[in-house]
Amino acid sequence: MVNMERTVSSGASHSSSSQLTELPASQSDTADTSPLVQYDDEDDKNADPLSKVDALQIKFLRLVHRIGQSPGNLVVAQVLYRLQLASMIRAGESDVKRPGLTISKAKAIAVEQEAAGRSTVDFSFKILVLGRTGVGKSATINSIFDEEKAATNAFVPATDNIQEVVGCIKGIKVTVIDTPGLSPAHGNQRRNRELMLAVRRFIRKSPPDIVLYFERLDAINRGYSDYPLLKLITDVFGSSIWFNTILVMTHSSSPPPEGPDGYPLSFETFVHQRTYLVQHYIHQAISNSQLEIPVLLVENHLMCLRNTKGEKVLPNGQVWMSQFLVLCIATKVLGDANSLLKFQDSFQLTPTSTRLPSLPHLLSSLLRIRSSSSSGGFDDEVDELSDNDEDEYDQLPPIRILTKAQFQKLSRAQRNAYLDELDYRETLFLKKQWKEELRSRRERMPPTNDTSVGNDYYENGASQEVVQLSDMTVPPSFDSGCPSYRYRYFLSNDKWLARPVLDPQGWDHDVGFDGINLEAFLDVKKNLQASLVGQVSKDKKEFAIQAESVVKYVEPRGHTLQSGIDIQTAGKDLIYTVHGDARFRNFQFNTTGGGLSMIKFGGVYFIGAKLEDSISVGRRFLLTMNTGRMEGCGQVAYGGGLEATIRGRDYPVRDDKVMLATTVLSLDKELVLGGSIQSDFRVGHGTKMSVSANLNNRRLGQVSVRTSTSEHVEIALIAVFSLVQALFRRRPTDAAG
Amino acid sequence: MAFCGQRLSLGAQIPLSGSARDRRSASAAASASAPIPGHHLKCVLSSAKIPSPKFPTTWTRKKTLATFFSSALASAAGGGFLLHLSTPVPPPGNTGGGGGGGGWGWGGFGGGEGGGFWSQIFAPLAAIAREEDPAGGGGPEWDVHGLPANIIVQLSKLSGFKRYKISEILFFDRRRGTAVAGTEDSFFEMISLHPGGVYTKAQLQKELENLASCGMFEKVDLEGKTKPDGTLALTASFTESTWQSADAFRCINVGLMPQTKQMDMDADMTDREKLEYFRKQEKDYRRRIDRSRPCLLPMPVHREVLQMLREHGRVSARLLQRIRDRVQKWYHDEGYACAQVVNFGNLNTKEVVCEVVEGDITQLVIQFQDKLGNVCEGNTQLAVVRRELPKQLRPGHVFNIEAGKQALRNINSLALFSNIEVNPRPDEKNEGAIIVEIKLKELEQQSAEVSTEWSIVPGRQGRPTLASIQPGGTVSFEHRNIKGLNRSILGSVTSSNLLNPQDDLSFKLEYVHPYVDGVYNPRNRTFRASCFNSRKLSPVFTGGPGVDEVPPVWIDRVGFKANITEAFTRQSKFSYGLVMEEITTRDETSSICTHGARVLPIGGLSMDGPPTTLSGTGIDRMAFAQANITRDNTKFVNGAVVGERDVFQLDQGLGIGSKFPFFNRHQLTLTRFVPLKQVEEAAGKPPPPVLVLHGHYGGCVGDLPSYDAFTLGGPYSVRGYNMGELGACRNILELAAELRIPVRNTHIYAFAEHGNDLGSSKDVKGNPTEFFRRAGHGSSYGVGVKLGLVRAEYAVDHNAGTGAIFFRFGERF
Repeated sequence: MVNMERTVSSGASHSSSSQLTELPASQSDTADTSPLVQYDDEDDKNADPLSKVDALQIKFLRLVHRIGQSPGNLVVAQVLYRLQLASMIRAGESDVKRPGLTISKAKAIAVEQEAAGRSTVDFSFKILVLGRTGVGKSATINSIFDEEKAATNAFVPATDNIQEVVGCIKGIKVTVIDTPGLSPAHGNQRRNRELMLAVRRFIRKSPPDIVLYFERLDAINRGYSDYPLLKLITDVFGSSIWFNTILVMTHSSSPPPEGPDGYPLSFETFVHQRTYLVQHYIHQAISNSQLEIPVLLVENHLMCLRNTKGEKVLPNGQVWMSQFLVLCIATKVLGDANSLLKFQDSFQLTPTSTRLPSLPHLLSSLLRIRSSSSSGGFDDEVDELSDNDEDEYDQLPPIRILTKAQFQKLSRAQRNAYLDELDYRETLFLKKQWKEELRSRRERMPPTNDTSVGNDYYENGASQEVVQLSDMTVPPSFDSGCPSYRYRYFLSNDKWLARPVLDPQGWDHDVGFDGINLEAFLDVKKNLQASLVGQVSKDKKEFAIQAESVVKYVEPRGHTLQSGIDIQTAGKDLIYTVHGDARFRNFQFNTTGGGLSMIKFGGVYFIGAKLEDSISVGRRFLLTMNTGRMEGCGQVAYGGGLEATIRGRDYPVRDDKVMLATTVLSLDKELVLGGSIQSDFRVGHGTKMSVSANLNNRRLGQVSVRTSTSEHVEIALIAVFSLVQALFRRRPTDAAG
Repeated sequence: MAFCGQRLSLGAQIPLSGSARDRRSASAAASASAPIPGHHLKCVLSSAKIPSPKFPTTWTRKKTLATFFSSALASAAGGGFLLHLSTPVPPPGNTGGGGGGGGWGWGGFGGGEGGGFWSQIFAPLAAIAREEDPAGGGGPEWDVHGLPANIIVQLSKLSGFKRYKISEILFFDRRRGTAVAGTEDSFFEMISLHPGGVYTKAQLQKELENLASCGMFEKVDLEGKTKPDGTLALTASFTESTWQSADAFRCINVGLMPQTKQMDMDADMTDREKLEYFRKQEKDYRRRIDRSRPCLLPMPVHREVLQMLREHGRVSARLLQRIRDRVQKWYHDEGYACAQVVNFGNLNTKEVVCEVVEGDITQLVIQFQDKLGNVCEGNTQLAVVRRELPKQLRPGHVFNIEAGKQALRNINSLALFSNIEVNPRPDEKNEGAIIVEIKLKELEQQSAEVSTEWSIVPGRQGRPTLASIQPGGTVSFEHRNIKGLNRSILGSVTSSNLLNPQDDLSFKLEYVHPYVDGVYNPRNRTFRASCFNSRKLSPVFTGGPGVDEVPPVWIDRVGFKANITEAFTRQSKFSYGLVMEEITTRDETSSICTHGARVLPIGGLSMDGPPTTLSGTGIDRMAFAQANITRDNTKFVNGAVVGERDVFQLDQGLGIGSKFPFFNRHQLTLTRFVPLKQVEEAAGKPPPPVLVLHGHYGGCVGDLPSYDAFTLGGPYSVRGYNMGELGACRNILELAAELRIPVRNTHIYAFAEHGNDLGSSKDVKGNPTEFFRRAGHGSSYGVGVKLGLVRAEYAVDHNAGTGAIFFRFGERF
C-alpha cells in the first residue's frame, strides 16, 4: 500500500518498482460522492457498456499520466480516438442519445482524479511471450521488471518450460508468461507445434491480454525464414491472436547494416525495413493486410545506453520502457473496450471469398434435363418399341459370310450391297437385343448386375471369381519405370465403379492420377433406383468434390419421382443443391413435370422451380418445353426453353437425330436469347458425324464438328499438318533463341 | 429339385445321344445330379466405351470389363456332355453271375460268387417322365385315385388312364426292415419322381424298371398307398446290392478308350460255356485295366477311399456311391470340371476299380465371330491367340477349368477382342473327349476421330463472325492389330488451333510391335517406340511446410523413346531402350525460365533460385539409355497381394546433348508382401493379413539437372507430405512398412514411412531443398482403408505433427 502511494505520488520519477508479493485487491472508494463517480471504477451492476467505456477511458488516461507519458503521445491519442469512435458507433446503433464523454473532458477528469490522489487504479495485465529461441524473451522480461526474474543465457536456450512471472510496474500488476523459445522454421516444426499446443493449454483458463512476439532486429534477413512459424502460430492460436500482439524487436542497438549506397542506413530506415518485413509476413499468414501491429524496440544489453534517469534508451533516444508500458496498456484497454462493446465478433479477420455463383447459370443447370443415367439408358418412352418387327431378325434368311478374298472379288456395287445387307442385319440384331434386354429387365426389375448397353451382353452370374484385370495403361513418360502395378486389381462384382482422374499437367515423374471418379448404381427395390456419380480429390490441403446423387422412383404407369443432392466445391466453400422432380405421364404422348431445387452456397440460399412438358409425336418426334425461375440474393432470374428432337428411323439402337433448341434467360431486365442446333448422323457404314452450333443474342457462339470413323481413317492426316506446322514454327524460335 | 432347370435343357440333349439308346443311357445321365459348378466356362468380355464423363479432366479410356460366371446352365451342358460319355454299350465283363438275368444287372442278384463283377450304379433318370411333366410337375391336372383310403396298391393294379399325384415317396430297406430316413440319402437322388408330381402308370412302371436296372438294388418294388385326399404315397421297397468286401482300390482313366463290345450271353449256355464266357470277360477287363491310363487322383484320396472300404466291410451300392462322390469331388475341386466317374468294375474281387473319364482334350478350335455372332474369317493370326493359351488347354491334356480361365485372362490382355468365350464341348465322334472351343469377336481394327470447334464472337460491325477460320480440336486415330500380329499405331493431336498450333499443342504417337522374335518363338519381346510431349509441374521447385508461395516451374518435355521389353512372366520384365528428349523449363506465364524463384516480401520475385536446367538456358537436350528390370511374383491371394517385387531402374547419360551430360541415375526398389497367416486359397475365403515392407534407394553420379533430381515426399514417396515437400536430392532412401488387416471384403491398414536425402540435398545445384526451406528428411505414419482401388487414409506428417486425410487411386506399393 505504501509502496503504491509512493509510486503514485512520484509519478514523474519513472522508476519502476516491482513486487513479488501480490498486490492488495481492488480498493475502490465507494464512499466518494463526487458527481463524477459514475465514471469511476467499475460499477458493474447498472452501468451500460458505454459508460463503462468512458470509465475505461479515464482509467487509461490516469495510467498514462502515471507512467509519465503525456496524453499527447501518438499511441495514447490513437487509443482515445478509437475508443471514441467505437462508442459512437455503438451509441448510434443502439440509438442512445447520450453525449459521450469527449476526449478533453475525459482528460480533465483524469487529471482531476490524479491530482486528488484518489485511490489507486485497479489495473493489471497479462502478457504472453512468444518468439524464436535466443531472441531475448527472458532478458526482456528481466529488463521490464529490472530484476533477474528469468534465467537467461546468451548461447543456449535458457527457458525450457512455460512459467509465469508476476511483478508490479508503476503500480500496475503485470503477469508475464514466459515460454521456451521456438525452433527456427526449417528445423523442428513438430516440437514447435507441441510447444504451442502446451502454451495454448496453459492460457486456456486465463487468456493473456497482450502477446509479445519477439524478433531480433539485427537477425532478420531478406528472405525471412520464419514465415512458417508465423503460420504455425496462426494455425494454433487462431488469427485473432494477432489482434493483441505487439511485435518486439530486440537487439535494437545493433548498428544498422550498410545500405545499397555503401553508407550505413539510418536507424529509422533500418527499423522500418525490418518491421515492414515481419508485418508483411504476418499479413500473409493471416491473409489480411489491414491489421497493423504495433512495434516495440527493445534493448536488453547491460551496456545499453541510458539516459540521465538511468533508463535504457534506444539509439534514437527513445525510452523503450515507457513505450512498452503505454503499448501494453493501450492494447489491454482496447481489448477491454472491444469486449465491452462486443466488437470482437463483428470484425472478421479473414475475409471470406464471396464470389457468388451467377443466377442464370444456376437456373440453366436447373432447367437442364437430368438424364436418368441410373436406368442405364433405358428410358421409359423406349418401352413401347412397336412389336410389329418383333422377330424380324429371326425371320431373315441365313446369310453367307464372305471371306476376305471373296469380298475382294466383288464389284463395287456388290460390295456396297453386301455391306448394306450386313448393316441392315446388324440394326435388326441390335433391336432384337435391345428388346430382349428390356424384357429381361421388366421381368426381374432389380437386375443382379448393371449391364452395359452395347453389342455385347452379359449373362449375370453371382460367381465370386477373383479375376485380375490386365494392367491399366498409364500415360507415356520418359521415365524408365512404369508403375502400372499400383493399379493392378481384380474384378469383383461390386456395384462401385472407381476410375482415376488424370491430371495431364500433374507432377513431373508422376503418373498424374489425381482424383477419383466414382459411379454407383443401385436398384434398391423394384421401382426404386439410386445412383451416385462423383469426383473427389483430397490432398494435404486441397479438397474438391463434385457429386450428384439421385434417388428415382418409377411408378408402373410411367410417372417418375426423383430427388437428389448435389455437392460441389467452389473455392473453399461447398455448394449444396437439393432438388426434387416429378414427371407425370398424363397421356400416352404427353409427359408433364416439375421440379424444385434449393441451393446453399456459403450462407446464401437460392430457390428455384421449374415446369416442363414433353410431347412425343410418334416415336421419332419429341417436343420438350420448360420454364423456370431462380431466386436468391435479392435477385430473380427467369428462363425457359423449347426443344424439338427428330430421331432417326432406327432409334433407339442407332442414335441419329436432329435437335433444335432455343432458350431464354432473363435477369435484371437483361434478356439472353440463345438457339442451338445439333445433329448426329451416320455417313456410310463406319462413320458417324455430329454437328452442333449455338449462338445467342450477344453474338457469342460456337460451331463444332465431330467425326469418328472406322473406315476412312485418312481424316487423321489433318494431324500431320498440325505437327508439320508446329515443327516449322519451332525453327524460327530456335534460331532466335 | 435342384436340377429341374438342368433337366429341361437336358431334354434337348437327349436326342443327340440317339433315341435308340436304351434306358440305361438315361439312367446314367442322372449321375450328373450333383450339380457341377462351373462346368461350362464362358466369359463375355466386352469392351464397352464408358460414357464420356461429365467432368472436364476426367480420364476417359476404353475400359475392359471382364466377367466370369459359371451359370447354372453350365452344369446342364455338363450333364448333356456326360450323357454322351456314359452311354456306351455297357461293357461286359463278369464271371460268376449267379442271377444273371434281368437285363444288364450283372453283378447283383446272386450277390456273391466269383469275381470280376461289374456294375453300374447310377441313378436312373426318368427323362420321359420329366418331359411329359407339365412345367414344374405340380400342375392341377391330376386324377383322384378313386380307391378307399389307406390301402396298399401294387403298381400293376393302378389304372393306366389316370394321372396320379404322388404326395410322398418312401424307401424301405427290406434287408434291414426299416424305412430310409432323411431325404438327403443317396437313394433319393436315384429316383426321378418327386413328391407332388403327377405321373401316369406307364411312367411309374418305367421308373421301376429304371430303378431295377440301375445296379443299386438286387430287388426293388414300387407300391402305392392311397391317401384320403386322392393322392398316392409311394413306397419303394428294395434290397440293396452288395458285393464281397475289398481291400484294394484302383482308379483308372478310361477316357478315349474304345468301348468293348458286349457279347451276347445265350440264356441256354451250359455251365461250362458260362464259365468260359465269364473267364473271357474277366480277361478282357484285365486287359482294359492294363490299357487304361493312370489317373490324376493322388495317393491321399486313394488312402481315404481305402479307409472307407475297410471300415464298411462289404461293398454296398451306397458305399460305391459315396466313393464316387468323393472321387468326383476331388476332381471338381481341382478344376477338372469334366471329370466323371462312369463305372465301378471288378466287383466281387478284392479290388474295386473306379473308372473315370477325366475329360481329355482332343481338339482346340479357335473361331472368330462377327458382330452378329456369325462365324467369320478373322483378321488376327491364330498363332497370336495360341501362344496365350496355357499348356493344359492343348490337346492331350485333361481339361481344367483353371486353365480355361487363364486362357481367358491371357487372351483378354491382348486387348484385341470385344468378346471371348472359352467353351469345353463334348466331342461327338470320340466319346469321353472334349473339344475346347474359343470364340472371339474382334474389335474394330482402325478408327479415327476428328473433332473441331470454331468460336463465334461479335465482329467489327457487330455481326457474329467465326473468330478465326482456324479450328481448335482433337485428332486421334488408332490402327490396331496390323497384319493380325497385334502391332498397333496410335496417335493423337490436340491444340486450340489445329492449323497453326501454338504452345498448347499436345501430341502423342506410339507404335507397338510385339513378338520381335517371331510369333512362334517363345521368347516374348516387344518393341515400342513413342514420340510425345508433356507439360508437368516440377516437384523440385516447391516450398517446404508453410511456404505456399513458390512460383511453379513447368517442365516441358518433348522427345522420342524407343525400347524393347522382354517379358519373362506376366509381371516380370526387362526393358531397355533409348530416350532423346528436349526439356524446356517455363514459369507461370509459360515463358522460358532459367532459375527457380521466390516471392519477395515486397511482392516481386527473386530470381536467384537454383538453376532449372543443366545448360542454364532453360532448354536442355539430351540422349540417354535406360533400363528397367522388374522381378515381380506378386499375386492375389483371396484379394490380398502377396509376394515380392524388386525393381531396378537405370538411366545412363551418354554425353550427348547440351553441355554433354554424362550421368548415371540408378534406383532400386524392394517390396515384400508377407502374409502373416496361411490361408486357404478359394473364392469367398478371407484374405490373410499382410505385412508390407518397402525400401527404395536411388543415387546419382555425374551431371544431374534439377528436374531429374529425386524428390522426397508425396503419395508414392513419403505419404502425408505434398509432392516434393521434403526436398530434392541426389541420393534418396525411403523405408516403409504397412500392415494390412482384412475386414469384410476389403482391408484396413496402418503404415509408417521415412524418407531421407542422406545429406545429398546440398549436391543438387543451387540446393533447392534449402532454398525453398525444406527439411530434407521426414517421417509419417497413419491409417487407412481400402475401397476397391480407392485408398482413403489419414496420414500424420511427423515433421509438423499435423495430420490430414487423403484420397488416392491405386496402391502405394
